[in-house]
Amino acid sequence: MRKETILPESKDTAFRDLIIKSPGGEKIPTCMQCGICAGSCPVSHEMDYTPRQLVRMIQLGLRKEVLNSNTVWICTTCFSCSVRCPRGIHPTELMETLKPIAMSEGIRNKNAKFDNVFSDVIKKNGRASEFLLISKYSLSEPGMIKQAPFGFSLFSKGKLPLSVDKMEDTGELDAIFKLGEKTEEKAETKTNPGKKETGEKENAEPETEK
Amino acid sequence: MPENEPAQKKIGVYLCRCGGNIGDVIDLQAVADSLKRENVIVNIQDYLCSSAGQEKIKNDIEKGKTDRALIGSCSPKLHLETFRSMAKNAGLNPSLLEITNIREQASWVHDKESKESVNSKARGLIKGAVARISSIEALVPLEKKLVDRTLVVGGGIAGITTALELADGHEVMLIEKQPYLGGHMIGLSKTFPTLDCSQCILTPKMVAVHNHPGITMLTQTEVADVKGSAGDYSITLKHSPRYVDIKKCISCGACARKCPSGAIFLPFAQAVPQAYMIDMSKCKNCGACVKVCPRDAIDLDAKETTSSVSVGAVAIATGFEPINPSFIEEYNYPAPNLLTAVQFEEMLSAKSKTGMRLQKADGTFPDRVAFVLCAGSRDFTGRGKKYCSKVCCIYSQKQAQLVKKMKEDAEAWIFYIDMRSAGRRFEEFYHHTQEKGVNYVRGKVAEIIPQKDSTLMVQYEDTNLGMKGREIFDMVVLCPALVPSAGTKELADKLGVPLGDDGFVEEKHVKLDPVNTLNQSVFAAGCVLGPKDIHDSVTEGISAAHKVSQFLGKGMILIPPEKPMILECNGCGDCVKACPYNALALEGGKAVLSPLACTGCGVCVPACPIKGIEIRNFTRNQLKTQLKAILGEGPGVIVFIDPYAYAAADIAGVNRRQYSSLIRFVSVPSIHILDADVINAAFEHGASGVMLIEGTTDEKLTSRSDELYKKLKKDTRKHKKPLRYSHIETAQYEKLTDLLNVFAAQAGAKAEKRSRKEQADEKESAAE
Amino acid sequence: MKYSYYPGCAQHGTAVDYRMSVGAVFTRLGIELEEIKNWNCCGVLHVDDRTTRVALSARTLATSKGLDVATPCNLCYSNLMRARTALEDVTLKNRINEALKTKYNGNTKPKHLLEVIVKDFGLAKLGEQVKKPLKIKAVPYYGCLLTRPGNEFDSPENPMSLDNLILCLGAEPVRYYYKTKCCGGPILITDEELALGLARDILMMAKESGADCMVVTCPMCHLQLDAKQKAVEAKFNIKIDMPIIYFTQLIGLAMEIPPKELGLDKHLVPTDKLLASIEGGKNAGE
Repeated sequence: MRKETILPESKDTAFRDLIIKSPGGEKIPTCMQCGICAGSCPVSHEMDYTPRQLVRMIQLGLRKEVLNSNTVWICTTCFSCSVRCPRGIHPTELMETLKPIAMSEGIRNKNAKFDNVFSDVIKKNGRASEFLLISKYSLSEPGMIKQAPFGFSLFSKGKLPLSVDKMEDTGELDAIFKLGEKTEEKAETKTNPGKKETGEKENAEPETEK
Repeated sequence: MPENEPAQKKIGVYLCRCGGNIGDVIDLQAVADSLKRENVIVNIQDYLCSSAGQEKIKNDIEKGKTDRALIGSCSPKLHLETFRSMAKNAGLNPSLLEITNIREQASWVHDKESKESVNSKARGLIKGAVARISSIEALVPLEKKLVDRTLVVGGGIAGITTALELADGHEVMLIEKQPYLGGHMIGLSKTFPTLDCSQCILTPKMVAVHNHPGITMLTQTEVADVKGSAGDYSITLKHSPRYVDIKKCISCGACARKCPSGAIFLPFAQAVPQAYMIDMSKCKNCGACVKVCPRDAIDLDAKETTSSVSVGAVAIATGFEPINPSFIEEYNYPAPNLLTAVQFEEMLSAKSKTGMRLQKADGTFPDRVAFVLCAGSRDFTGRGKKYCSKVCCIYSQKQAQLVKKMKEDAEAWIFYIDMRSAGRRFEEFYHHTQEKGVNYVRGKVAEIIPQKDSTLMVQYEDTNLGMKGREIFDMVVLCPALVPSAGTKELADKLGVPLGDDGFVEEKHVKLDPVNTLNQSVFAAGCVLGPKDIHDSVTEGISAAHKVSQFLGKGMILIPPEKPMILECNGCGDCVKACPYNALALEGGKAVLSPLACTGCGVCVPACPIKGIEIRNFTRNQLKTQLKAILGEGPGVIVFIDPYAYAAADIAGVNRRQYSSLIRFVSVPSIHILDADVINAAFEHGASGVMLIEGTTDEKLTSRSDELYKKLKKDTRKHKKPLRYSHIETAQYEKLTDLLNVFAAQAGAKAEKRSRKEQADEKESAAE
Repeated sequence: MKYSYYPGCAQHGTAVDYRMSVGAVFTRLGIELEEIKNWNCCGVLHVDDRTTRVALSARTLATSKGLDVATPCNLCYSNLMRARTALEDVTLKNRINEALKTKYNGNTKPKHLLEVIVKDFGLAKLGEQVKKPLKIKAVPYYGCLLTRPGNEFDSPENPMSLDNLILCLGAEPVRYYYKTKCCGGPILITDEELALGLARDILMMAKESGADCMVVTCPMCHLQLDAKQKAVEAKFNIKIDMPIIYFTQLIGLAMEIPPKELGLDKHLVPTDKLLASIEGGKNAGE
């Protein structure tokens, strides 16, 4: 991503405050930029901004850069950074805070797409069936066809049932998923709704070939 | 009784704005107005501690406008002595000047509360203090002769310096836990920033200690027990056996040549004292050494012994130790070729076991060495230490230079977070190290993974680049957080010296009294006051020696005159039995006090069945008068607090730890002077709760606290109001404020419930 | 001993072998696992809304009939643990309870099956059930989410419970510095190349240690390290051939439960060699 000059107007303090107030965010102002998070991260080399840089950008309120960064989508949620941070910051929680905000701002990369497919399946069936997930996800990510032989090898061992696993009674799921919709609305109203700079872009692709 | 004296007292109340520190928060004019009816003169100043401020009080005293002075300002810990000496010069008995703390205990700690609640608290505190000062009597401090001998604990560079600087004028006993002098410094290689050899500059000093006629030096010795009081301690020392008589041993080495198990040895060539010692875990007790020793110096049956010494002052110089980095699990310490910086230093020092060669586990020289800073420091999660250990940035650069010096094409990498090279000649040292080709990486090492071939993989982020990196090293040196040496807490407790929450000895004043402790006869120097380098340790050693000398030079120590007075006695002897310090005795059927043995703890007060004993200036009536005045300005929670816990409240204030403005501290010499009379009075005058907070670590008192609390609880039960006891050491200021908040909330809730009930009852009775 | 059992979605799919071995072992040990009726998915790491994900786990904990909730999956376990912490926030708890039929009250604790065995059942008692000490070298692999962000049960960086379990079964746990490194499972579908790279590091280090097998506690780790092992080999042009065994399968083998009953024939990396060396070990032991 092309980097820009940090100007007074690039700083969104409302965004910064929202993140700091979210679970695990209160220690963000105390980051000393030691980089143990990025050094511990198994995948930080694939990120456009390392977790440390992401925290710094939040300290400044660089909303656009934060929400367009691929960092949150590459995170494997292994918590190595969180247990090692000497300032008690939880970068893993931070990623989870940022994901729905980024999605509500229109970020649609393949990770976001998968998460959407997954959420839809759970909302409907209450349980995840691998076959159903993969087939639904393949519709939007045609590259997944490469996985067919792998699927077949699982199938041959009886490990990929084609039936759909479902709760006997999915009655409560609607109410449970409604909770989330409320949270998202809240996040959006709080983060300066006038500023929709992120737009719908496929910009969170990790660069795997260089 | 003195408080019934009819004579009209001229009380002057002096309130300090402390710039805006107090004045911006508390409406001092309103406080002054509220005192109008009290028949006092009130004066408000910007800075009372300034010469103009003091001059005003002095004038008032000299002109006879004031014969008792109450100051509302910062903590008495800061300026009480200044003000009292001014009062003395002006002709007023110093005990008739008191300070009420409206800064650390009011204006700094109630940001979240309404202005009015803080103001009513300030009015209450001042009115209580006015009531108190009009009720107290002029006392003259007792004088006690000082013992002109100093115990220096710790034989590292700070202790050695203190001892040498002191010994020309005063008798010194220097004790050291290890079998030799020199502390950590004798285990150092070269010293920064000049790279001169540590043992070369230290050995002459160790020898000087050994030879000085004014210094008694005892190794393998620790403080076992402390009796007595400031200026006159009787200290029991514990000596662990060396099995070799230091005085007889001539270091001929005959014993070591005969020993079949390598158990007898000279610690290292330059060790002072020069004498062999035995490691009993290796000794087979064959007696070969005993037979061969030409001086008959060896005794394999030696046992631990004790001795006693009387001293007037103590200097604590017990230093530091590196934290064991094994708790940083991602660093996988210990592992081959993964050392601490202390181990690295020792390899190149007088204590070297490798012939002063830097070598890996396999005996070869490491071609790639990494230095990992902040191992366990700057950590606010509770896993490591919060503070910066200060010396690591510079010594790691020195170690890196040594690596390059020993082998020019060897690589040395320093992983740092912030390169801290403040201090004279240090930035130049940093620059010089860069010139030598040392590789600096800005990034905290994330993990160290031992490899099959005994190399170590280091993973990190180069934060200047935002890139993750991995390197393989032959040797990795961890620079661990430096912590107070083991036993610091025990020693400090025995000497009644508070520690900070970091475990280091608390200075009397952070900036202005850096080597005094809160115990006037105990001083400190070196790393026991926090991590520092040799230069600073020496500076503090010299300072401590000066302070000790100044203290002992007076020949006398003033003892606080707030002691028990025996007003009535039926000769039952209960107080004699109760006194923890044997300061009371029955003579001719009456209790008699030895004031110098008495610490003023007040255990005797509630012990007397006929209420015949009172502590001077803390009598039941005086306390009750003060409580009534405090609570006259609105309800609050009364917190009786002893001087050690008071210091915690001061630290809370300095750190702006917020708590409920309902809290009203009432300072007492010890909570043990209290009985149900006083607590009941607090409740009757409207306290919504009472707390007893004790900070002393004196077991003679704390062992009685539980019983005292139970008794008070029982005897004040009729009020159905909460009473709490808590032990808070000086370092635990965070715990203190948490506790105050919880208790204030509970007391408040209870009071509300009670008033609702009363209202309901009233309605009921009205309906009837 | 009785627990509410929360199998998690994988037990009905890719982790059929895990399910078989849990059944075989726990029945024989007399630990009762009563499957929660009508259980729901924990949301894994892909239901992005935090409140929803906490609610999914709150429902699980609420419907456990007052029994502690045992789960075989690191992801489920981690979600349950984190939800439990999050639900200490009363406002959040009340909000979530509005959506739940059975209200969450915080009285039940999540437990991973490894914790159930090592801590509740106890290794001493398990040792008595060992009929055939497994004279093999095994890599203890915990994965990330069993011990992070933190539990009362084991250390986040250097846990030892699985090491001790392996030791108790007569096998030798190798010193393995990657025991809590991420296998890449959570990004397997979306970032396969990256995920395979992580799996490679873990597998190569295991291989280097000279172990006969790797022991795992999570169906996601198993999928990644067993089912994807061939892909790792192909992508990086290396040979690994490292059997990946669920800890329950390892217990089963030491209890002489037939390998087929433990689902060991359902792995993609063949387990025959491992089984043979266990047999051999037995002979050598006799």
